Amino acid sequence: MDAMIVMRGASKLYGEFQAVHPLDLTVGRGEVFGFLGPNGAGKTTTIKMLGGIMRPSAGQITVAGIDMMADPVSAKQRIGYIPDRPYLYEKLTAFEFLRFIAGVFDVPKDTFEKRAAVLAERFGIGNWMDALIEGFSHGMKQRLVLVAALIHQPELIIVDEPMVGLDPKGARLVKNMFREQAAGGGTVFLSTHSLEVAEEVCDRIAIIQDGRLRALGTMAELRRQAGAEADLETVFLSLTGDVDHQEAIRGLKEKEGD
Amino acid sequence: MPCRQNPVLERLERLERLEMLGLLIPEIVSQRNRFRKADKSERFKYYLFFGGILAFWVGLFFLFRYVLGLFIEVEVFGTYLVKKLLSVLLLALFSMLCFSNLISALSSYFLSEDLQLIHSLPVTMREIHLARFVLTFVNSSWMMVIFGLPVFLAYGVVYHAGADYYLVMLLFLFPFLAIPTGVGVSLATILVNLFPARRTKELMVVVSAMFLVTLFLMLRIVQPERLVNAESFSDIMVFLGQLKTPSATFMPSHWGTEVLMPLLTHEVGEPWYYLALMTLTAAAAIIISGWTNLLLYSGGWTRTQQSASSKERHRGVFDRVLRGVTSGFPRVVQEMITKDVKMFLRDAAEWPQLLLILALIALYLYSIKVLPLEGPFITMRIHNLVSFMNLAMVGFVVSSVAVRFLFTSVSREGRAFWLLRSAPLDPRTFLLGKYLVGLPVLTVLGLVLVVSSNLLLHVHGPLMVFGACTMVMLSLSMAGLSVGIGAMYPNFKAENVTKIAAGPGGILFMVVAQLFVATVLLFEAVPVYLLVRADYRQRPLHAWEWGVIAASGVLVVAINAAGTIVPMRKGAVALRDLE
Repeated sequence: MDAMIVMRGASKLYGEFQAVHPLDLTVGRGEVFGFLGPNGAGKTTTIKMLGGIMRPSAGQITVAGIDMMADPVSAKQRIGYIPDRPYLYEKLTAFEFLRFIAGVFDVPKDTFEKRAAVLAERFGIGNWMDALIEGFSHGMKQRLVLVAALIHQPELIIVDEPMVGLDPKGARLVKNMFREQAAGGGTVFLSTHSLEVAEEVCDRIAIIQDGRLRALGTMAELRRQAGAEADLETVFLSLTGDVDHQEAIRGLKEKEGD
Repeated sequence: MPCRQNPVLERLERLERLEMLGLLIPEIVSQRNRFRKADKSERFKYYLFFGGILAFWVGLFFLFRYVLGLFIEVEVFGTYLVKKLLSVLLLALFSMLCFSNLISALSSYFLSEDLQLIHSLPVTMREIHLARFVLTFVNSSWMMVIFGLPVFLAYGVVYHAGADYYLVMLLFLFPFLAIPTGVGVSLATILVNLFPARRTKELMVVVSAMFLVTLFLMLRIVQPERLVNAESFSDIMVFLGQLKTPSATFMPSHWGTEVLMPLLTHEVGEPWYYLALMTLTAAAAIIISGWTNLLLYSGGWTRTQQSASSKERHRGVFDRVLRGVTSGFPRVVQEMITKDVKMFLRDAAEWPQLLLILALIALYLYSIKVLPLEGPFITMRIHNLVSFMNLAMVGFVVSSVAVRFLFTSVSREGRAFWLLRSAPLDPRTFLLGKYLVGLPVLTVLGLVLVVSSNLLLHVHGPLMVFGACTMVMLSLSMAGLSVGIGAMYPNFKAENVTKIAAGPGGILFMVVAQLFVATVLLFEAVPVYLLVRADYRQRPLHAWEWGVIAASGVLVVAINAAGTIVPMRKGAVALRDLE
């Protein structure tokens, strides 16, 4: 497998708290990779290390063969990063914002205008390009972030909670975009709480808990690891040791049914 | 084991039974938690803040006691001047209260983030109105209490007023503060039904900034320093007499004067009549704000929710000009400069600060102009000395502007900073962009102040050139210091830029900047002395003098280069390692 992401013993320490234990992970080109875990498991920290937003305390991360610590600028040039909360420059218009991002990623000016027009139409913000971002809804901002992440045609898309704030049409658009990225030889690394999304679009899934990798593989492999021929929810709860929790929820549901 | 209830919470819960106050509990508890959960350094900041207020309070009291003491000793005009001063002060305070209440009401009734939650609670519109009215009243009035009370106390002390004055002073404060709140709330409710709430608030911020600028300029033109000179009282009286302040007898500021003055001077008056008038007006303002709220609030609130401001901005001339000016820079730097300038000019909380800078320049130059530097014993040497010392003062002004605009420039990226951290952007390039946006502002400001001051001081020749060169170098290093230290102490979560500038990093920058200016001027003192001496004796410089000047010049350039580069590099490393 031609590797897009290679993590070797990458870990993160906040003071004395080990948020991510040494992590070894390889994600190939053409893959949609799901990163799952309960709240506080270390998903966002891992994603931030991958995106070059945060330096690991130890270990090595390479993106498309480039060492993120040694040459972060070149590594980030290949990444499109989409956070869960779209904080943007509210006093810029959508067009100005995209032009700024294109400038930072050094996209040629004429190429930028063509790409921006196509992507904006595709993500349904074509009519809002000259409006200030401060007037956008959460979903609109999320769509704009998606366009911004794609404007330089990244080899790797890193996305934290991709469906937050999107309507069903937007969600479908994003899922298609993920599959197209993978089909074109690119990679998508997504962190999500939505097991449905992971099950629907991911080729492989990793489950992290307490900063440690608990499971890794395709859906079929995870089912085998969990010892259950069930959906991803059951597999997830089983692998993260939350079966009791699940039973408690079932108990409550039965009570409500009474 | 049952958790022991906190006594403060118990008291608050008892208050909660009064439903109107219940809606204020989150605000009260948040403030209390903010203080109780603060760590040592934060608590120190609180103590520093309250200590500062206390010091200001005491200082203001003694200043007014001194000024009023001078006033009442003036024969014939004394009482008149004191009364005029009081009416001017009350009018200024009342006007500021009106602006502040209107802005505060727009926030607390229509723009606050917690309103979504408040509206989902099982409470009536009347209760929401009352809770928000109290919030607006408190938010807008606390500053007035800090500014006003020491002044009123100074009046009482100077006139040896009896208990009735202090009692009436307290009684007078409530209606004086409540009238603008009632007016502000009513006006805000009406305006939101006509215009978008956010735009109205932005406009009001601009108008109030301009009002403040005008007020400061007027106060400076009075030349309060002349108060120590009894001969100039007649001029001041002429000036005060020209102010048409209390002619409007329907203004609460006029009523306030009529309430307080008779109790101070024991002259014939109708203080109780005017106090009753104020109280009744306050009651009417509160009731009218309630009616306005009842009739118009729902419509206004709905409009606020609907009117997502999607103001269109066309890609016009300004954009092309900005890009033309920055075309010599690498593209990423050009984009950063364009972004920062546009965001600054579109933010109504930011660009009015430029008006304040203009006012600052005007005030500074006016103060230089009225310096007592004319007379038989004032030589050109003194002018030269003042010109040299003026560099330190201009350095202070430039660093004050730098802390507000350049030091905060990294933090102003706010929560959108993730965009730059995830982008292929070297932190050094990022800081260079910030540096280049701020540098022209500091350089122009510094040069205007130094060159104009020297012209006013009749300082020409080598000292003029020397002052201008020093200022250019200091601007370069002040920009580097402020951007660099700003990157070392970023605060991406602060909603208010002023808070960032007043934080520990801002204070550190101000201290470092003053030490830096002092060091530069120390190394320049000898060459300046040599230059001035040669000029005074009208002879060319000796070779050794040139040597000293050149050596000092190299040293000063090196210090300024270090002052620019070292903090910028340290700032870039701090940003790279940011968690």
